Amino acid sequence: MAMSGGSDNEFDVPLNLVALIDVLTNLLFFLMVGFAAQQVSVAGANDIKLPSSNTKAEIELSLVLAITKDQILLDDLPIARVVNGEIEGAREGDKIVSIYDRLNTLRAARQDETGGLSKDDDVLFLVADRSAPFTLLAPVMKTAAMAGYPNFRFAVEKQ
Amino acid sequence: MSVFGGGSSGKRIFGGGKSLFGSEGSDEIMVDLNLTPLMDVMSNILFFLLAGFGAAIISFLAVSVPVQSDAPGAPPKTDSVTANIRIMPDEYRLTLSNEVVDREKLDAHRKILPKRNGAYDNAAIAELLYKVKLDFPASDTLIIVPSEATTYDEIIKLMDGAREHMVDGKRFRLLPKVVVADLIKSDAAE
Repeated sequence: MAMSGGSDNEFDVPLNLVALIDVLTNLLFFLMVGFAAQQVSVAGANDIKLPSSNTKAEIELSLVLAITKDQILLDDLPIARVVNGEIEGAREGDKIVSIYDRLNTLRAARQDETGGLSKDDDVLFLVADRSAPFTLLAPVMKTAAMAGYPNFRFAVEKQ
Repeated sequence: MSVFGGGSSGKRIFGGGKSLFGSEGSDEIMVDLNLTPLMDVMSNILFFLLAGFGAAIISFLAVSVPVQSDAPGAPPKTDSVTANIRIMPDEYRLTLSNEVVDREKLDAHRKILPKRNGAYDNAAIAELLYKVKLDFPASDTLIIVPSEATTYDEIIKLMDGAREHMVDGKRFRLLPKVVVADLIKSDAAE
């Protein structure tokens, strides 16, 4: 028992921080990996508030289609503008040409890479604000279905 | 004075004897590493990661839109129906469809659910769909027909209500497959 000083009763207790650092490093590492895997990054969509849901499904990322108040982005690239709740751009009937063409291009490129159809080739991950009216979502979804993407994953926040 | 050790009168700087720099013949240097600031930084990063991680955990709900197909559909079964919910501005309208089941059995589940306190009654729709599921256990498909005023959040809440129902503390699966059909643009009479 080491005692320092003259008449005081202080004890010098060496604190081993190495074990603590080890635990913290591991926690940090796994949190960072988990956080990165869960992150859905959408450029220019910081003002989107997702609706909440009690679903337990684990996120499976596919092509991300984001609908914000000002624009529509596909994999972080703007492909159409939204003005006063209406999508601007050329139309052919129900089809929004810019979205249709871009989706077709991506689909063809993906099929060239994979040599044919593969899982998630017909799925879009849809990110929209909770208050987005369905009048904004419907034409986009219809156009995507025409381009060969009839299946969607509606992004939600877990409750 | 010999720098490299040796010599009876030399004062050794490196090696030789025991000194701050190690024992005789050793080149080891003992360095005390101050772990406190490192721990401080890591604790802060950990705290903010934990806070951010809990704040936004993203999931998804699978949905499809109707697509015209030339392939023949699966033959209809008597224990499976398709539930249709029209989201009107003030109410839900639930109907069932199946080509081989008696019309009377389907109409027995036809319901109109007005809003409660200004909000759609998703708990009641879950109850109704539970009764549908009891009569038609193989049912798994819901078609949602939104109106112009329907928001994304309202569709999600309806899907949540239609996906599962708590019965005696256990989760009972209702209609997990959802198809979102086109908008209804006017209040057409049924």
